[in-house]
Amino acid sequence: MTIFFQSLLDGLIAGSIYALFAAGLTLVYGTLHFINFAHGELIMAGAFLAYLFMMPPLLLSPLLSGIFAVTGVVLLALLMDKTVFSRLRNANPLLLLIASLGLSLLLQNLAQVLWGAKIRAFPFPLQRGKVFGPVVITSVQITILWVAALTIFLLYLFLKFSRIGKAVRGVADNPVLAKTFGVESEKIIRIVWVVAAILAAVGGILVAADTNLEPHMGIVNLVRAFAAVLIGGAGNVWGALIGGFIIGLSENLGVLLLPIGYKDAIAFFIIILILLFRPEGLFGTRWGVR
Amino acid sequence: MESSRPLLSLDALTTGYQRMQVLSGLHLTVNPSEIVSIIGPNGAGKSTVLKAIYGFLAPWEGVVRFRGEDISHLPVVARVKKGMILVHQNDNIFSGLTLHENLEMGGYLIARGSLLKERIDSVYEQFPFLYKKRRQAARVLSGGERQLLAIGMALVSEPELILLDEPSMGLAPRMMARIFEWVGRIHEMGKSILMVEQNARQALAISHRGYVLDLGKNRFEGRATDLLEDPKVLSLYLGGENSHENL
Repeated sequence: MTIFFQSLLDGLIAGSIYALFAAGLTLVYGTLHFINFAHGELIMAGAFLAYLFMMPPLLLSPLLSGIFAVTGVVLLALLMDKTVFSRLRNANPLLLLIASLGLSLLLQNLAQVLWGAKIRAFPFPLQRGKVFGPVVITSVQITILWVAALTIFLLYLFLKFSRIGKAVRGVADNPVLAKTFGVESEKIIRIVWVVAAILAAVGGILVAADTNLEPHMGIVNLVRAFAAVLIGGAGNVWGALIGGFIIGLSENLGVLLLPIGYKDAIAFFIIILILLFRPEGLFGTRWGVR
Repeated sequence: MESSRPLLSLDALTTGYQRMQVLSGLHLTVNPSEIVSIIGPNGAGKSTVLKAIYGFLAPWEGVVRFRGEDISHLPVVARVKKGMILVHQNDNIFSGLTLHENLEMGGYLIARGSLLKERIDSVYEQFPFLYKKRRQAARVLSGGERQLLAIGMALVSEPELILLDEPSMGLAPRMMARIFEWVGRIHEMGKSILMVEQNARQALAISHRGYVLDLGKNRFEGRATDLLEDPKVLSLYLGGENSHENL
């Protein structure tokens, strides 16, 4: 029973991070209509930039490193859009997908050139977890949970109550009508990249804090985010958030039944099930942000 | 009705899509507080006229003027700011947004929150059913209600000129009558209206002037009452004189 509650907690922690990845990925899909394979590298870049700022010679605090890393990833996403995606604005979605795959490989290899393929970890001292009833949780994990929760809450406030956030939903819902009322789609697209980059970078830093970091960490997390996006219905931000938690929980509860080596296969398994039986997602595409 | 300067004028407008020319040398004016209808057979380019006026389509030749100013090459957003708004014939609401959020999008360019709220409240006064359903997603609305929401969204921006693309499209006769009644009421609020309509008779019945478009060219134009009695217009575009009695 103890292991069940522990897995539940681990699932929630992982799920809260996957929710951030998935929300950004689905937001880009909803407004630009392609699956951005390089979203994984925004995650990876967040983790590596935070690592860069925390390690010698800079030795900044985790908070400051996080802020600088998120800023760096936002700039990277805007650069990606400016140099690659904006030139393909009206192109076939398949072309955009392949371009993003190319960017993804480029950035992975760039990271490998700069940092090597070695698995690294943030320079946090080893911690003894605090015991709460049947579960053990470290202070890093507590921080992860509240940072993820705060980020999701801010995303909700932005999309639901801000004028620009509503325009983002309007463009995702009906781009021609949004233009009719004077919404400039290029401006909204830039906002979407900023939001998606913040979500990816925060998530990437958190996942690295919870586990470790290496140049190919983007891909495995992209698969999870993709599964979560499909669960929620492509383009549906609220659905993607819930999908993230479902993936996190099923990975961590699944290994109670399956050998641990199958953990990464669970997201693939869910992708196949959803595509076979409910390609529109559990909640349908026309819900939530749209 | 005749004013010294028209609100909107098209001067020898030629445009189209890619290599397909749709409009050739079109002339059209809308004077302040006038209702003008564009009628004509399917494929005459009626909706294209509205797209060109609104900036969704660039002119190949000719000029679009608003209050005397050449706006031919301004982007859509600049034209909205000058005081015009287009109501599309379909897909004219944000189906996933609530009714209230739809109205807020209608006033997207109104930066001041208090002013936006005031405008939305006045739309709620005119369409109380919108207020009742304001927290529901717009997809729950019926066809006629959608059309009224779309008109409500256009009113939030307080335009001088409203471009209506087939407002009665696909509606039941009773709802159609209600939409035309609303067009009249919006006119009473002091707005000018340029309307493209398939239901030519009903459109002309509430209009001051009309244009008959065929194959992208001006065929007839004049006071709406004159067009409704012109034998050529009647037989070619209004389904003959006999059907006049039936309607």
